[in-house]
Amino acid sequence: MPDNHFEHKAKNKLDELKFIPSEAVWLNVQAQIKKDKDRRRLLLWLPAACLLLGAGTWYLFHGKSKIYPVHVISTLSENGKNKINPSSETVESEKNRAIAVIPTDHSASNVQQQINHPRYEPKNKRSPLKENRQEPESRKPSGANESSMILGIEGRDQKKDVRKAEPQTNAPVIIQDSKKSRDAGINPAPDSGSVARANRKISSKADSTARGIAKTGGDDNLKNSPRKKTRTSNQDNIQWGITGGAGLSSHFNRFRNNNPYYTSNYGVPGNDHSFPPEKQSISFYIGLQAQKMLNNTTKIFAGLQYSYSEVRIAPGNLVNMPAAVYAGNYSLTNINSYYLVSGTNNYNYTNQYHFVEIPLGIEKQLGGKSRFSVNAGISLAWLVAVHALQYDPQTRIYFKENSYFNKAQWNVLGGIEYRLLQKEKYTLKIGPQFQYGLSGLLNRKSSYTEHAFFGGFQVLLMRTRK
Amino acid sequence: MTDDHKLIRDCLKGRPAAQQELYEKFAGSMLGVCYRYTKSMSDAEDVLQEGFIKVFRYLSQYKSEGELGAWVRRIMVNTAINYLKKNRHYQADLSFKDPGLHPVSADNPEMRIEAKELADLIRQLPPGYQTIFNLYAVEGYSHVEIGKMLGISDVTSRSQYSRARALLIVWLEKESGDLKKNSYAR
Repeated sequence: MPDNHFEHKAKNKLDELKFIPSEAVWLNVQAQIKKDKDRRRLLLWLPAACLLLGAGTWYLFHGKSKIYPVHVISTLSENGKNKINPSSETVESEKNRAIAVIPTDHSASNVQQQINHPRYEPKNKRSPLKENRQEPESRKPSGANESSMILGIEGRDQKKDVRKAEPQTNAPVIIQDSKKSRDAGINPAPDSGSVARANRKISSKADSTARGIAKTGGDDNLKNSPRKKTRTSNQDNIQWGITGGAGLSSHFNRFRNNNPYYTSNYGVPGNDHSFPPEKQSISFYIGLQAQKMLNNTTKIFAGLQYSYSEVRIAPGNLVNMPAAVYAGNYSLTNINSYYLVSGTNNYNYTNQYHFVEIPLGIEKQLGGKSRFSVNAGISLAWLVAVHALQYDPQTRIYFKENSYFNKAQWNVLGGIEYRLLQKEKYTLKIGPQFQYGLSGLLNRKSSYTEHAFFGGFQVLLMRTRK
Repeated sequence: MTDDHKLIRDCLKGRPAAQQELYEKFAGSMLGVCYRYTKSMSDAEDVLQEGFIKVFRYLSQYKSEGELGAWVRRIMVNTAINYLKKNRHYQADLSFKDPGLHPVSADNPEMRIEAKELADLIRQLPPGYQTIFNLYAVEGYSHVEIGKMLGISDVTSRSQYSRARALLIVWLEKESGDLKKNSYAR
C-alpha cells in the first residue's frame, strides 16, 4: 500500500469521482436479471420434466403387470377326501386377488393323485379353511360333497410373493387344511419347501379376508369372482408413452381493426402495412402421452408436455430513449428503450417462447391393418416464460412488453402417424405434425394479433399392451 | 450495515425495487471507477453494466464480512480488467512494453485540479500504465497482486507504475502551471 502523499491525494481525489450513468445501463441490467431468472426457472422445470420422462420410461418398460395368475389345484371335500382340480384359472385384477372357497364335487378316486402331487403343502396350519371350520355351522360352506378351494383378498405385498414364488416352480398355489390332510393320510412332501413357504405366507395373509368372505356370503358370492376378468378392461385400455417432436415455427401477424395506424392507413397507396420479415426457427416439444382405445381403430389421447419455439427477427439497432407506442384500443404505452427497424435483414434477435401444454385429441387408424393413422385435437398451453419483442407499425419500432402476452393459449393440432415398429413391449410411431395457435400470442393491449404455427415431425413411443 | 443486509435479502428474493435501490446506491461511484480504467464513457458504461450483472448474479455469494461497497467495487475492477483484456482496442496497448517515457518530476506535486480532471489525466496514460496506476495507487493492490491479475511479473508492475506516476506528476505540474497562468491572466 503506497504511503506517499501523492498516492493519498490521488486516491482521495478519485474517490470523489461520480457520474450519473445513462438509463440504458439499468434497463439492460434489469433485462439480464430477468433473463437469468427465466433461465433459473427453466432449470427448475428441467429436472421435473426429466423426472416425468424417467418415470414414464420406467413405467413403459418395467411398469406393473396386471395379470396375476391363480392356479386352482387342490380342493378338499368335507368328508376329508381330496382331489386335484385339473383346471387352472387366471385371475386378472387391479388391486386385489380373490381367494375364495369354491365348492366342487370330487370323487374319492382323485384323492390319491392329490397325495402324490409334489407341490402340495400339508404344514399350512393357519389356512383359512381351518379358521372357517371354527365358524358356526350355518356360515360354513354347505353341501357334504363340496370341497373347498381357498381364495382371499390379496394386497400388493402378496402380489410380490406370488411373483416370487411362481418363477421358482411355476407352481400352482396350494392352500390346504392340514388337519384334513392328516385325516386323509397325507404326508408332507419333502420337495415342496420353498413353494410351500411362499404359499403359507400368502394363505396366512389372506386368512382374515377369507374368513370375512366366508362369514358374509359363503361360496356363492365368491364362486364367480375369479372369472370377472373384464372388470379391469377400462384401465387396461389406457396406454402410456413418451412423445416428442421437432420442427420449424413461424408466426402469422395481422393488425387489429382498432389499431389507429391500420384504420387511418389501410388501403392508402404507398403505405407500408407489412410487418418486417421474420425468419422461421426451431421448435420442439417433449412429454408424456396417455391413449385410451375406444374401439379397434380409434383412440383418444391426452398428454403433458413442455414445448419451446422461437422466431428470429431483424429489429434493427437498440435505442435507449423513452418513447410511446400505440397499443390496441387507441391507447399509448410508454417504453424506455426500443429497436429501430433499419430495413436490413440482419436477424440479430430471437423471440423465445416456453410453454407447458396439455394436448387432447383423437387418433384414427386408417383401416384395420394399416400402419397409418391420423390424429387431430386441441391443446391448452400455458406460457411459462417469454423473451420476445413486439412491433409497432406506426413508429416502426420493436419494443419489449411482456404484459402484452396471453398466458393461456388454445391451439389446434393434427398430423399423420406411421407405425414404424411394433415390438413386444412398445410401439414406435413417427409422422408429420402441425399445430396452430387459435387464441393468439398477444392480448388486446397489442395493436396486432400473432398466431404461432408449428410444423415438424413427431415421434411417439407407446408401451404395448399384451 | 443493517440496511445493506435488508437490501441484499430483498434483492435475493428478486424484488425489483430493492435491485434498483442497490443499483442506484452504487452506480454513480462505480461508474467513476470504471471511467478511470477505460478510455471512453461508453466503454465505462459497458463495464458498469457487465459489473452490475455480475453483482446481482453472485450476490448470494457475498459474505457480510466486509462492506458491500468494497465488494461491489472489487467486482467492478475485475470486470474492467477483463474488459480491457478482451477488448481488441485495449489489447494492443496492454502489452506493458516500455514506451520510452522517462519524465523527471517532483515527488509531491500540488493537486489543484478536480477529480474528473485527474481521472482524465490518468486516462491519457497508455492503458498498461493506466491500469497499474489505478490498481496500485487507488485500489491499493500490491505489485505482486497486480502481477498476478495482469499476468506480468511484479518487477514489470513496479517499473511501469513508477513511470506512470512520474508521467502523471509532470502532467499535473503542467496543469497546475496552466491553472496558475490562467488565474494570473484573469
